[in-house]
Amino acid sequence: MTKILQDPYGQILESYSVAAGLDYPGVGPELAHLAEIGRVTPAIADDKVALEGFRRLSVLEGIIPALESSHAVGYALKNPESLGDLAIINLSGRGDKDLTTVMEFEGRKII
Amino acid sequence: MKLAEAFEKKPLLIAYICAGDPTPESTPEIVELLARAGADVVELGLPHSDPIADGPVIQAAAQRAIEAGMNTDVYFEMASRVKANLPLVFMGYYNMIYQRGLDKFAEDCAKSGITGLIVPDLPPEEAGPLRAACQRADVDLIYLVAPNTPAERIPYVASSSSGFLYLVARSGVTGARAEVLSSTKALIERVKTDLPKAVGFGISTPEQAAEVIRAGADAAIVGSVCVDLISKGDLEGLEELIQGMKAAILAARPMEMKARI
Repeated sequence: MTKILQDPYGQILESYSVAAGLDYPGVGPELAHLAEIGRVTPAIADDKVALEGFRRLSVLEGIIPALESSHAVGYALKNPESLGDLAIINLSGRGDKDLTTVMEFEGRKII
Repeated sequence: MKLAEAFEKKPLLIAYICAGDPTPESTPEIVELLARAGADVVELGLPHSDPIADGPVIQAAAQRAIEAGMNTDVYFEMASRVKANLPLVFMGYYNMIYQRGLDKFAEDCAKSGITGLIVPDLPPEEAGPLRAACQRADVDLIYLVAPNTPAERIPYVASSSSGFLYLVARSGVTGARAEVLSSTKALIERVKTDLPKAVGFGISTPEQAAEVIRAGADAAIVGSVCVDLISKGDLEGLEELIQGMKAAILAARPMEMKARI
């Protein structure tokens, strides 16, 4: 059974995210199940946190993470103490595709 | 009134409207108008944010109704205010039922005069719990057979259904079409069941309604065109259309149906 953004009557609600891949009111059933049984602890990162993750990984490592993965990077930077001694981030996609979005978000013009 | 009782006087005209469009207050009156004009059963659609079986007309109506304050509590409240002696049938999507709780939903149907449920996004394989809840509340659960339903699957779907079997006239979503396809007629012939067969999707004129009755259907279902007229505020046009459709299907009924009355 998956998890859905919905009101108490079951109407599906509008989603929003700067990352196109997260701008969807549901999650995969497998992930929902893992969260349900406690194998995965979901956490929250907003646009601002994700963009900070995007920027820092790009600048410091030359790795441009997809905006979706940038949420995890931003979260890890913001909450290092919650992750223990070793943290592994799965960069599920590359951020070249997101450069336009990031520049628009930062109010910069693409030349 | 139960659906089985209504089908004693076939052929029937089943009219679909989107509950709560244009306003929740207007729906009981519109149902009563449909009943006066000759509708034998009214399908009351519960507006959903993601109406996957519906075309643009009903989608837009659902959106308006939700914005006008429609929800499941209001839905049952308005259904119980309908003063017309005809079966009401729920049409809507499973998440709305699931969120309310299956037993509560089925009981609320029974209490408010809704005698059957059509849930187009719930395959019969997944419907066990809802079917049990419907049986406990004594309401029918109606299934759909589409033109692309494989022949070997039809008996399974038909045996899962009660009240009537909904034959989807053509592939795709709800909405008016210019003609009734020959494949619709073939579907009516192909489906073997003891349940009454009601044909819907794309029927918008008295002639089309008559055509499916002539082809052997026990009921014609008309939806999007009703919703369209309501959205334009043309209730006179709606009344005329339903009167015209009723006259057309009565004139079209085959001899064996005439003999029963």
